[in-house]
Amino acid sequence: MFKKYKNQDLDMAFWWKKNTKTSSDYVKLISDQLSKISNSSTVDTKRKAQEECSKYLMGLKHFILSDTDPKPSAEAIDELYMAMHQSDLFYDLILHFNDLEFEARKEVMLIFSICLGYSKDNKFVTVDYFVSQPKTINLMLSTIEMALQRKSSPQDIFLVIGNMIIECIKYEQLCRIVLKDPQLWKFFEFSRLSNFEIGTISLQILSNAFTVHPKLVSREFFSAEANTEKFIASINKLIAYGSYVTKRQSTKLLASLIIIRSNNQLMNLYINSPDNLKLIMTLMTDKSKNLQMEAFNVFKVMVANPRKTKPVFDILAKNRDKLLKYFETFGIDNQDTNFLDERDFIIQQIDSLPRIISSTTDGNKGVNNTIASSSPPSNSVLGVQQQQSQH
Amino acid sequence: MNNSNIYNILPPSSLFDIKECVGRGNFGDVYKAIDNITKKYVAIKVINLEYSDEDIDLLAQEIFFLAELKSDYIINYITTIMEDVSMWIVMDYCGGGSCSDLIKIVYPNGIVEEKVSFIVKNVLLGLQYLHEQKKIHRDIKAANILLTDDGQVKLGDFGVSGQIKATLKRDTFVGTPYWMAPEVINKEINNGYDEKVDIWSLGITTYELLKGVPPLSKYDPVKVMTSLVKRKPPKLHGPYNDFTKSFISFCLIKDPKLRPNVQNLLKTDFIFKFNGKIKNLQKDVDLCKKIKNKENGNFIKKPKFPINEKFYNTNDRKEPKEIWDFNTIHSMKSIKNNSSLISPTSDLHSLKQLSPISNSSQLQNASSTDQQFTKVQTITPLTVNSKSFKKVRVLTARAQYELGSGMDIDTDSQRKEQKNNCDRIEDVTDYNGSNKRENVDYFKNVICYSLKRMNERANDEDTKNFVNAILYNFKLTEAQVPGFSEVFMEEILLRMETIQNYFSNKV
Repeated sequence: MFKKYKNQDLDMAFWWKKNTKTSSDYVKLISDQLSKISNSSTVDTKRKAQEECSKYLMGLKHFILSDTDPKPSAEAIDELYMAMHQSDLFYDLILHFNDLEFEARKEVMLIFSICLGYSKDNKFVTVDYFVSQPKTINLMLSTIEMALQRKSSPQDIFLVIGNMIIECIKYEQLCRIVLKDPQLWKFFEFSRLSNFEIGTISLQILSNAFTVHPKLVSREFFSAEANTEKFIASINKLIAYGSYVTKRQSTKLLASLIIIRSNNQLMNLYINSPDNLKLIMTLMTDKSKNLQMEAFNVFKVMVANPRKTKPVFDILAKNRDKLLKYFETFGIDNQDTNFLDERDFIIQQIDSLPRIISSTTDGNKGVNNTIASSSPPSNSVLGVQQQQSQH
Repeated sequence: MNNSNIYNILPPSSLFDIKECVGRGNFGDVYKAIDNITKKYVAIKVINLEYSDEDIDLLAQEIFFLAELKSDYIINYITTIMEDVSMWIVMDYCGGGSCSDLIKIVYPNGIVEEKVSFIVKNVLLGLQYLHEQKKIHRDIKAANILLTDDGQVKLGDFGVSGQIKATLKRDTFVGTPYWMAPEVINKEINNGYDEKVDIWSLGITTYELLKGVPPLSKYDPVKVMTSLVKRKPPKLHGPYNDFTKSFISFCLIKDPKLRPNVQNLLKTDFIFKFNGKIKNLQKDVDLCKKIKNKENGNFIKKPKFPINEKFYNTNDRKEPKEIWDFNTIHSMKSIKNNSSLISPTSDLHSLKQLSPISNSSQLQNASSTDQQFTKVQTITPLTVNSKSFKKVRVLTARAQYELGSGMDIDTDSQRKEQKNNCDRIEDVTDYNGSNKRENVDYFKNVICYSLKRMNERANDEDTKNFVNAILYNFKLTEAQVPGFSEVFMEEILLRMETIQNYFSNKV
């Protein structure tokens, strides 16, 4: 029976259906093909091994989905999971991911997510296995980076492994492994890559890693100040230099993180820095209404903070009139009552800031120059009004 | 797909020659275009993210879903690129339109069985590919079955498609009422649904192709939907082959467990009896195009968002890029309240925050690649001791949009407005010497120094003379326009930084 698989003319569907008695064979067959792929000396033998591998993966998928006739017994399924774990099948597959065929990689992804979701006696057996053998998750995080080196279609591998990482993140224990892996920081860089698929899924991975299990993140990630500092520096870079989409998504992520009560380490560090305030205020003047709104969701926390640091306070006070002017038209067509309440509160807070002016001589020059340089009317009005209100 | 890297290097506008708008939806507009690399026609779905309420994450999910599909029976996804604030989703172009167009324009009373069998077989092959990967299309109907110019059938529009993952069941309510399977409408049945919903919809679609309309189409869609769970499945009546009728009733078995799968259906007589008789629908596609052209010109539609109107216009300097005052509080006075807060010591504090030397704590940890960021964030206001130059205030995060920025020279003696390039520099305050914190003499330490080195490097006397001439001119200008060198250097550095950023974004 066992030798037969080397026969290329064999009808696989027929073969699998005949061989339901030892499910662990699937695992062995795939492992064998994987080592063949790496040891093959010619293109032909390698391609054959790749094709074989694809077939066996499909067979394994049918088995694990009970799409076979007859359906596999519960014992056979258990045996299969055990064999996969014992042989570190997923580790092996990820290691050879580059050499798998396009469709085969997707089979791996599907099998992977089915395995993660499989529970026996209220235990997620594959999740538990990865917790004891985190090397597979770590390998996924580094393999995805290697995909970028591919000359053609790097996004093919990147997307598949990226989706697998997102699957992992759904499980708290696996999310912990992801958060602890220094490789995670690289995803901030990947988020800025111009390849749309790669950039977008990288930011989704980050977003999932930091938001799906908020308690885990605040307890074990932001509890370390070094992490928080690095996180702020990294996300600021996305907000400052990202593409339109990256800016929107990263600001949204930041806003959603700093309002979580348990993330107060992150919030305190973020809202107390004048540089962050400047970045967010700059974003508020972006032409995009969506970006303005995302920025406001960060800005409001900074303004609402009852214990502002001196530099933050100074910037707000100095721009008091400009901010009031800004909020006269900000979100004017937004009907959301929550938003309107928040905006009113923020306006109140700004209104109660002390008034500060620049020295009169400077101010006069400012007005002259503004008019001289044929600026848009709205802004010269702003400038003039400001001067008037100060005198 | 091998060329997909190229799509990210060049600006989209140079990659594709946009022809006419061929479709309009709430999501955005669809254009016919020529791919300048492959010289093939492509369809580009342009979604303006600023003006539409589309959720970016959901759109990305749709794109990831498409990117994973490679089949002859499914419309091929090429790439997605961002242009301005719009997402361009590039797909193969199906010049033949949809089967729904074919019905409307050529066969209002339905298509003949033989051709329907051909279409359905191709849809089944597409579904076979999808279902094998546990993916569901969820919106099978004639309007989503597309035809290429040479009459091949491709499954399209994956807007609501989904991946059945670990749970192997979905419970989202999506699809189009007349084509929806009972288990989608009534979640209690089976608690959730799987790929069998596509089989039901295929049954309805087969009926639609044969009759020209889906069953019960004269009734209100919501009523059809709600009554679907209770009533018997629709049946095909009329002068059709028995195997055609039974194919439809086979698809329309209400219990999804008893409903056949793709493999079963591919073996039915309806597919088998006509198999191979038709190779393509080229003639029908040509006929359809002919009538279309006669009826209303070129079928050109008016796009919802004009594609040439850019949201971030690089030449548009009228928009104030920066309205805030982030200067040091040094020259500021407090009028009334809290004057105690702004004491000389706090001035020093805020000064420190702004100087480039004292990076704030979280930035100090940044790696070397963060340098450009820290630079922008903590840039010192210009220390020009001159009334001749405006201070550049716009060292903002948006430097990458400012690839076209220039310098505004505004001397006391003569007004040399270099166009309106610098309108963005709003409410400018000239600097008085008291603000000067650094004693770098840009003329002496930078310009003279560099030109001297150039002089030394010069190979011949002529070159040396040119260098000296430049130096002389600089000297003259600096004497006339104090601070000229500093602004000059700042502009060079700004420009270099922008270019650097531009390239680091492109890598």
